[in-house]
Amino acid sequence: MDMKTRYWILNTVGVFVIAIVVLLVFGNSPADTALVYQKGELIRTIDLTDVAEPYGFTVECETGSNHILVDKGRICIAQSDCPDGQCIYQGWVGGGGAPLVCLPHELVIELSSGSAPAASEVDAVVG
Amino acid sequence: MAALTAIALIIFIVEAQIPLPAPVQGAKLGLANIVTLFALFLGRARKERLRSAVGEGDRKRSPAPHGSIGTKGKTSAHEERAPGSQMQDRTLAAGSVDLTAADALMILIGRIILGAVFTGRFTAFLYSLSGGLLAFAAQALFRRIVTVRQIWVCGVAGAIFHNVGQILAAMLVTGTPSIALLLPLLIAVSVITGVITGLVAQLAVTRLGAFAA
Repeated sequence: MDMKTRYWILNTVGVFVIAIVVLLVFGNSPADTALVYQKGELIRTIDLTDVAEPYGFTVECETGSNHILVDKGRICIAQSDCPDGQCIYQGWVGGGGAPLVCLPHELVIELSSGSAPAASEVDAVVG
Repeated sequence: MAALTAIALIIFIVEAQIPLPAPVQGAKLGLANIVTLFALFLGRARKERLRSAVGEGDRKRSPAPHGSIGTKGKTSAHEERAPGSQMQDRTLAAGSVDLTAADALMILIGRIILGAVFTGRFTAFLYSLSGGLLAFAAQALFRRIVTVRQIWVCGVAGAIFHNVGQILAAMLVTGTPSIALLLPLLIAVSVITGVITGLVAQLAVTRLGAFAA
């Protein structure tokens, strides 16, 4: 193994470790608010701390629909008729910063803690 | 070239059929990138092999650097001898066709367009294209600073920038910048997948370099 290879192994491991550290540092903060965006527009704000019992709702768009389940402190996309279904594979999410995304339907569910935008408090009591 | 495009297309389609049940948005191996890397490095492997064959007499000193476009002044990148440097396939190497970076880019674009047609996922086309082009740019850049022994580094760079490109496109399309928060996880994953696909490409280039194309 020459020096150059060793140098690049170190660099690669470094990038990997930095990514993992960033994940660990920011990945454990529980979220209390879920913001549902469709095509960049906020269509629904959900207070995750205030969920008496689990419920679901459906978001429609011209290419299909997503069924979203809400539970106390967590949220998931349960059903989707998008071609890849990757939004479903993400499962339940309860924080950690990374949003739930369904790219084909341009649906993004952001999770935020604390300073949720107070504007447009559309409430979430839909069957 | 057409053969490589076809191979890349087949890999791309087959991979698209296998949903990876990972809790990560958009995580996949990126196997089709093996072909891009192969095309990018094939000419290089051939050249190095030829050079080491020519410099057989005085193996201590390698010939003058060809195109020392290296920004960091490390021209030695181009001077590394091909692994193994078997002399016997000198003649075969001399007769094979050279692939340039432009050829590799054409293979990539052909694969992405045809891939969108065959998989029928036109929504994914934009993400493939932005990710693929950014990954290609990163790999073309890295090609100048690594040798055939470090093609896997190129694979990692390509994987990371593929994700960056896709995330950028997704941010533009959905208008929600918070998608960028997916990046740390995607980068961690792409280091692993990049090493895997990069190593495969490296093995292919070093073993087939003198015979293929």
